[in-house]
Amino acid sequence: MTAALAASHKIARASWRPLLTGAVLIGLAEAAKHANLLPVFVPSPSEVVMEIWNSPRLVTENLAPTAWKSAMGYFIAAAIAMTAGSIAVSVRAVYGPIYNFGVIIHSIPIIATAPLLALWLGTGPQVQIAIAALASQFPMLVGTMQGLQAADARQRELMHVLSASRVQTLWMLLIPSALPYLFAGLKIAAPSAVLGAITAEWAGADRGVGAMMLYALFSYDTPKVWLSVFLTCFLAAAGFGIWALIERLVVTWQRDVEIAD
Amino acid sequence: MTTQTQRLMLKRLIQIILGAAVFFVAWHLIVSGLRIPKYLVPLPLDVFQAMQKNRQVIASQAGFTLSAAAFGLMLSTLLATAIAISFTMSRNLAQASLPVVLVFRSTPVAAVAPIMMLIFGRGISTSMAVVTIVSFFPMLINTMRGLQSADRNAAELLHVYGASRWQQLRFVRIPFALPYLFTGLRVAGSSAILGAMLSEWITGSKGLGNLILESGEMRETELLWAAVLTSVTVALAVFWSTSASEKRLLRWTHT
Repeated sequence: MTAALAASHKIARASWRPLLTGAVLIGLAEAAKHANLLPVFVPSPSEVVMEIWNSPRLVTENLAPTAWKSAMGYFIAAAIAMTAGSIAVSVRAVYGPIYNFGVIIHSIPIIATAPLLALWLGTGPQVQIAIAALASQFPMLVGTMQGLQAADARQRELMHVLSASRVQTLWMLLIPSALPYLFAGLKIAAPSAVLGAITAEWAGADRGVGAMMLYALFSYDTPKVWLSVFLTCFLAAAGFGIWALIERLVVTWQRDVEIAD
Repeated sequence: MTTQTQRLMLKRLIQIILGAAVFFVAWHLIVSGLRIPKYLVPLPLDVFQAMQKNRQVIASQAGFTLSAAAFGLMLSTLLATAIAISFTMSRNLAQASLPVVLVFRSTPVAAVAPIMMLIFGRGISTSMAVVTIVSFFPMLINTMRGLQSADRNAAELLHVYGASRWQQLRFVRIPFALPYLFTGLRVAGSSAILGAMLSEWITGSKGLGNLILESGEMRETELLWAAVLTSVTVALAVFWSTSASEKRLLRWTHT
């Protein structure tokens, strides 16, 4: 509990400066818009806020489905990627094939698969969930694979000399040294899942931030376009932020590792 | 050395061709063996026929996507290199503007694309702008990392010789940064193709992304598969060629 309190204090101390900058920028944009200095495609911040005020259901009805679909896809991808990563590390023969498969899925343009998945899975939320999963799998796979190999040989030898069982080695050495990498992967993957869900909604969905964005674009409703852009950023940042917070509470021994992209 | 690398490349090429052949044969056998209906998964031969029949359409649409991606990549490489060099020349400038850069780095494509469409309208310029923005940050980060990776002994030697800042840049920093530039290109290359296709998707301008979307809506399954195969091939080709050149350059610096 004290750790949580300390962490929240730290976050509050680190975030007042960016928040202040943001507030100043919003004030400047508002003033510039009223002085007719901004082009037509930039609405004033108050117009965007009024959009929420006038139709709060627009936000709730579109934000919730997208959040739900990205989260579903994300967790499915996390389960599969972590399992595949652990198998790859423990069975040497399949290490290369699993990694290369991940690379190939990662480098396929996700939108190319959307119409195909729509043919197979129907036009419901399944397509968006599947694409969110496909778009977010790679960092988690790499994080798992790198993390489980992060313990160095001397540490492994020490565990061996101390005659630790396999379970003890896993619990006391491999998992603690893997967690920072795993969290790095989980953090990077969360915005990708949101991006995948939203692009899949562009291909056809009646609800969701992506659908709202498309409707607003085709009717040239500038404040609504910007609102959907902010909702996208909000979802992506929330996904990243939740994992960053959990990481701060869980991983107290090592931080800021970098996983290969 | 050269014959060895040639043999290695030949081996890699044969591996790729064999892998593709196995893939298509397995595809044919599975589809015809399990009697999967044609509207779900067509036979590979039908897809090739559709590719043959529509090759001009596919080629011209792929041309649009590729030129948007290439132009955007070029622009962002130039911009990123210029900014990275000015950042390494002046620490104050870097410290003042890096936070802004980091904020923009975390904005997803899905958020950039609609705003670019409001600004540039429904044309290829929107795709170019989106690609430029999307690929700018990996390029910048990697180029900066490269410029800072210069060998300290070499830098000190030039300092002893009384080299000017530009000479330092020209003879030490830029040569050391080149492999990192290619790392940036590898990361940015796949996101550039993706960014181009995504923006075609929402603007409805010409390109592979739109071809895929339209043939999907028209239920022209063979054309859809042909377009998807083309885009996957293009993306993989970009990924492999950039990572191959990255590897070559890395070997060049290490030996």
